[in-house]
Amino acid sequence: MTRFRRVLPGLLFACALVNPAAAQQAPMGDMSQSPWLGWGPFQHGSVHTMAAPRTWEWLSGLLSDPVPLGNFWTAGNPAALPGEVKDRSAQLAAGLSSETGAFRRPLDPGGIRGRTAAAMGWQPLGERGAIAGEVRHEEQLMDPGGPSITAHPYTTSPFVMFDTTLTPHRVQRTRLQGAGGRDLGRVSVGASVGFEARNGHSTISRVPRLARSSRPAGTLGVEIPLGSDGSVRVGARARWATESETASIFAVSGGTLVTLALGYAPPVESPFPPGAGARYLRRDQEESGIGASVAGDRGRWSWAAHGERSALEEALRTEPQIDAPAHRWRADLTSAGIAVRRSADPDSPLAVVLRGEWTELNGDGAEASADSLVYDARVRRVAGVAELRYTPDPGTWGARGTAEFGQEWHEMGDPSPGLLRSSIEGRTIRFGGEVSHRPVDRLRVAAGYWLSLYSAGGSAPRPGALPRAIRPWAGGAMAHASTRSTGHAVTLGAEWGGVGRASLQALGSWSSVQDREGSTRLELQPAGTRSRWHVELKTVLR
Amino acid sequence: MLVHRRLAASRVVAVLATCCVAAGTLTAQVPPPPVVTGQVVVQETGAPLAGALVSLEGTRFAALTGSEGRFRLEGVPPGPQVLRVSMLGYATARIPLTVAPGAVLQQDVRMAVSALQVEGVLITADPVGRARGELGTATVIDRAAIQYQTATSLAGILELVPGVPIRPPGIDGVQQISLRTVPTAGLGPDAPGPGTGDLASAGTLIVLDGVPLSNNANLQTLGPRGELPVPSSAGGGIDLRRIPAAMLDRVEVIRGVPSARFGDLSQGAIIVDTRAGVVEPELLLRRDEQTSQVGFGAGMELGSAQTATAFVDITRTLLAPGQREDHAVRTATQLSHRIVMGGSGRATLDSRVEVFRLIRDVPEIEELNLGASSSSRDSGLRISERFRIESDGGARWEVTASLDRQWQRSFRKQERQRSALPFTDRLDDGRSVGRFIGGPYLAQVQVDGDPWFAFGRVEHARPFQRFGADHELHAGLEVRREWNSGEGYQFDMEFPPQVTFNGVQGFDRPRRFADLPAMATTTLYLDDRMTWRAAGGRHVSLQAGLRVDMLHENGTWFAGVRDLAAQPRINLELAPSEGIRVRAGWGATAKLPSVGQLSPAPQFHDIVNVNWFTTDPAERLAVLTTTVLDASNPELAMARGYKSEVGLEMGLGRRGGLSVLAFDDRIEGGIGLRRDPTHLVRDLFQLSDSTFGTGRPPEIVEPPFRSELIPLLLLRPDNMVDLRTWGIEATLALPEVRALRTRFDLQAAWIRTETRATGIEVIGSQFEFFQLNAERERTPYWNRSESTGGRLLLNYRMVYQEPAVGLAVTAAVQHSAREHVQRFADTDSLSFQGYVTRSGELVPVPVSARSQPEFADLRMERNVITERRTTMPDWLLSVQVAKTLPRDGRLAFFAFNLLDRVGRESSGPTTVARSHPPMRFGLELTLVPGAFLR
Repeated sequence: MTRFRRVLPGLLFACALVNPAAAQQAPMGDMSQSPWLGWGPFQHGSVHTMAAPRTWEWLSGLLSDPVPLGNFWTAGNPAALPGEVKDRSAQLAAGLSSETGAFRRPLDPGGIRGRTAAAMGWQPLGERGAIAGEVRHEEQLMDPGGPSITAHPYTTSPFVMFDTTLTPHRVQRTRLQGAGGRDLGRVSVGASVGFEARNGHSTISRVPRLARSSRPAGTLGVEIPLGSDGSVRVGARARWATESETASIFAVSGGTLVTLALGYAPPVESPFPPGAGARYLRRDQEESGIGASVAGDRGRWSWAAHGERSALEEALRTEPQIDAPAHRWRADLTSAGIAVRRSADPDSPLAVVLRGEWTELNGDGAEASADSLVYDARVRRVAGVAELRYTPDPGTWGARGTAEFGQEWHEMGDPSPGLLRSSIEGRTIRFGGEVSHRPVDRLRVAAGYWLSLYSAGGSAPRPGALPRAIRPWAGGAMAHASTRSTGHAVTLGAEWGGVGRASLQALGSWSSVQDREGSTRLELQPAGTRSRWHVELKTVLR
Repeated sequence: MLVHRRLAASRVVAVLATCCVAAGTLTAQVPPPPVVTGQVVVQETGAPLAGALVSLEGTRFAALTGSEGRFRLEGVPPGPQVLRVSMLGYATARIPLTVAPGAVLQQDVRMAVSALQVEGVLITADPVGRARGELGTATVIDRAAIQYQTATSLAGILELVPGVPIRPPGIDGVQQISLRTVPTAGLGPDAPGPGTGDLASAGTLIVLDGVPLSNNANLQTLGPRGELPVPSSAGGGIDLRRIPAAMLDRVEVIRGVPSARFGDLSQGAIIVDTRAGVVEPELLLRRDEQTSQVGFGAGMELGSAQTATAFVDITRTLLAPGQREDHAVRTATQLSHRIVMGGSGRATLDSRVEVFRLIRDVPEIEELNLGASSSSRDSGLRISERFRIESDGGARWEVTASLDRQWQRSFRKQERQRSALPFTDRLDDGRSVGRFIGGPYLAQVQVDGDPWFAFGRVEHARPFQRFGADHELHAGLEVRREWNSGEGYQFDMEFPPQVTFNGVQGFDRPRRFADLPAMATTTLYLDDRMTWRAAGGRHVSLQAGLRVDMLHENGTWFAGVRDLAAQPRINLELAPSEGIRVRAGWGATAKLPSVGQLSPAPQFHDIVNVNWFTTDPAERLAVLTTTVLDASNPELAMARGYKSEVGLEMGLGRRGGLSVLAFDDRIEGGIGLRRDPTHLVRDLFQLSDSTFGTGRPPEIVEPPFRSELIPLLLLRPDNMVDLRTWGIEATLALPEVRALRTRFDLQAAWIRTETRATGIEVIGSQFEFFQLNAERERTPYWNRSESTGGRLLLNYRMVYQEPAVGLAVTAAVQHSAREHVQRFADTDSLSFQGYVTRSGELVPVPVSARSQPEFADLRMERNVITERRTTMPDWLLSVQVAKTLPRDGRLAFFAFNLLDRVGRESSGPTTVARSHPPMRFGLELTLVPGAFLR
């Protein structure tokens, strides 16, 4: 074991966890990170994902209304919709993005060029109901660099399949989710359903591959007010999601070596010479959870607190036969959070938002051929954010500043004493600000800058101690996480308040992350910079 | 067959007599004709809507709303009807209603800009609808349902028909339809007759804007010897990709017995109307993983008497995701124009121009497939004119003329490898000195076909009353001519695309399609639809007609008749009370052969007389005798079909209904390739000087020192296939659950298809051995060729609508409850029927004699898979979520196999494996640009 200190650059994962409001304004990016809605049945999907220090997407927050707090907006309880959706709004957006650079994990794509289209809206439905919905479609062309067969090679699950061919990929993803709630008098009930799908394939390849996944999800919720004035509302919800992923790799006119990682244990390696047929992978996952939340308003203050306990089971099969033996991954998740906001008004245009969240995951992996555990993982995260927002009305200038802190602990490896294990502790600090200006009546522009600093410590197996075949996957990821790094993000935006209540926004961002001077040079450690730009046109109809 | 026809005719007479008696008992109680009246208003504002067209579907009753939005339809037929209201800028409303005899029915209509905002609008197929002027069982799919069906072409729309499997959208492969059939196992490579891919040739008629389409002159195939197949619908039905779904206004699928107005079919008819008239400009964008689609359409008034409409569709589908980035691309354009002549508005001229182009290019990629490439480029231009004039009494004359021209270009190139072979490119009978070819080479073939289809029809329609019944009489004369003017099947003779050469079967020769004679037909038809009405909604409807198709000799209408098919058809509907209908139909049909079947390619046989191959090319000698055999069949005739069905329909209130029917469709004399045994003679020669090293080839010494017989099987098109499909179709539409704003529908179809072919079967490898070994005197043959397929398909459909927010969710579960295919063949060693001699004679052997020692050489087991292949029950969920957008737009999400279902498939009793139906999802956006300017 080698002990070393690490720095991770991407603190946005913490943002996605602790700041659903900002996430809602962000472009889609990697859908596995669930960065863009806090209320749908997918909202907690990100906690299954291993820390990915490359989520640094930003768009202007000053040009959008702050997202309210409540049992629906913060905790995702659809029963709270009638009480929290009192007006009507719709947004249509289309965007382009590009991401390139060497500072990445080994199974990440060399580059990503993406196109995104999205629509979102909510409205009251009669006197006692409300609905909200969103659809988002994304297409990406991934440059060679990620030989993973599965869609998400860096989840906490130890069972990951990859091979030795590097080919460009096209990926299409769509997410659709909707929620409806109805007030039945003293009790409100609601349901939300969602569907997320992914289709991907190599472009021109002697070893073609196809991968697809489907993820339906649903939530049922109930909410009741406490007290006579109903200023405090308590809700409970049950959430269910299932995901299936099917991947095939065909050794048509080329050969490849397919590796199935079993955590840090020796993997299963399958050479596929040209014409050897297809390699198959099927992953079935089911997740269910129950949660409770409480929210309240008093004057200009609103607050919400929520918690959830959920369980996840995953079976991975590599043979197409029915009832083929499956590798199994089981995990329990617990999360809790709190958010407080003081709204602005004409007399006091300063708004404050404070948020904090804690999550914990404990999982065990068992190989198909044996009942014994080959892997366990414990992941804990805590994050907090403070936001100050100054938006005088009327006024020509506005400002916003945020300060965020996040820390995570990853402990994983073979549960047997004396075998390979890793324990990594990472810390993220980010701060920055944004100003807006209204040079003419209907036009508003905004610009912002954020700085991120990542550092980490802990212990991990020396890459040379890992089985050779999984070094790119596990060793490379740990080396990546061991690198101190610095991130910069710049945002620009303009809003034209067209006719009536409609407005048109042009938003752009550029961000980059790079290793910081002073990092210890390690085997498989990435170097250099990775940067991303994103532009988006959005119409907001109110 | 004669006995069968006589029996059928006697049944028709009996049914007619019964109907007449029934009609006589009903005529005495005729009540006054009912009236439908109401007001059309704008949904959002309640303001009256003037100028909306209100009509009863399938009838001639129509009216325009007045300044107060009011309408009145008098004298309408009682019973279940569909009220249709259309107006530019508003979603067409279709409201089912039941008209009681003598009643005045008030029905107000609220029009919205989108169908999603109309209360209870049907956005799925009408399960008990009626095709216009037809009594046979039909599925009617209106614009609202088309709009909410994820489809790139007509094929996707037809998934709303019972028994039709749901497929992911796209244009990557040929799309054909054969109603009421399921795939059979095929009859195997050693057996003649149709298989799975040929069922479309059974004949489902497609009528596009009143004019039939035809695929009879499509010759884009390399024939049974071709080794480099090209994708094509030749020999099958119309490739439905040429008809984009976005252009469709209404589709009527006549699954039952069509009226005598429709011919060249055996499996029903699909009547397609495209969008025309005044249409608000509309832009459609659709995208999923493999398919992108852009469509635009608009129609406008040109003065007070003319309208013009244009639609453009561009669709692109990725062909083989994962390995390549090739696409199939379709561009389709339709222009339509209508002029109303005279002040009365009773004379109209409709003109349509349709252009389409389907391109499928798979270029060579050096690192993937060195030397291999293919392309397919089909283009078409269709011009049609329909002139209609109507008199005061409702009588109508209609003249239709259409010309459909296509350009079909198929190319395929692939590296082949073969040993050194004697070769000749001789094009006529005779012996010649050839040469040797062999080694690796690039075989390539180009097939250029230019099919033409000219169609004309004069029809007279007249409504009248006689014998107490309302009559709608149609009489018409049709002429059609089909030919192909293409350059045909072309390749470099030196490098033929077919290389399986065994010294008998010849090398391929180019063939020019333009040299083939055309096919011409003349048709007369008479059809009368009669309705007797009684009190209480009771009525009897009878549709009876006769169609006579004449297939001419020599491709002209003035030549003699090669074949004549008289096709009586009758449909009967009894309504003993309001909401209940008992229906029955029987009819004969006929399906024309294709131009290629009437004039099959001549079969070349190159028999090797001398095969002297030396290391020195200068000393080699190849002598071959070429024989050209005519494979045409002067007896070839139209395939005859007989359709029958009986069913029951019941109304369940609030648009609910139940329909159950049983059908039995038969085709006799379907066309397959018959194996005709014959023989050729091979002369063997001595060589004058066969010493090596002379630097020159030897010479043959005349006369031949020996001659031997070479047996052959000549493949000749023949009416040798019988096909029978029968089954049960059921549709249950539950009344709308108003509290949930949800409808549930169930469609179920159990269909079984059997194919049987006459003619002999042989074991291919055995026969080849027999051909090449003169010592072998005979080889066995068999003659049982049958296969079956069966399927129980259930579609559960749920439609949830929330008009207040313009939301509609359609979920369809397709449940394949049972599916199997099986081939029947005699496989044991005593099952041979007889033997083929070297001179091509068939000598039967009685069953009792087959075990005798003298037939020991004929006793062999056939390796034919006769195991029943059963697909385990499985289901797929497909979903569409549609939502109106501001400015009249619409956004929809669709997903095929939403849950990424991995199916279970069983092959035989022991092996079990998973199947992987594709999963597809995407978005569809419809924008109305004009709405942004309002």
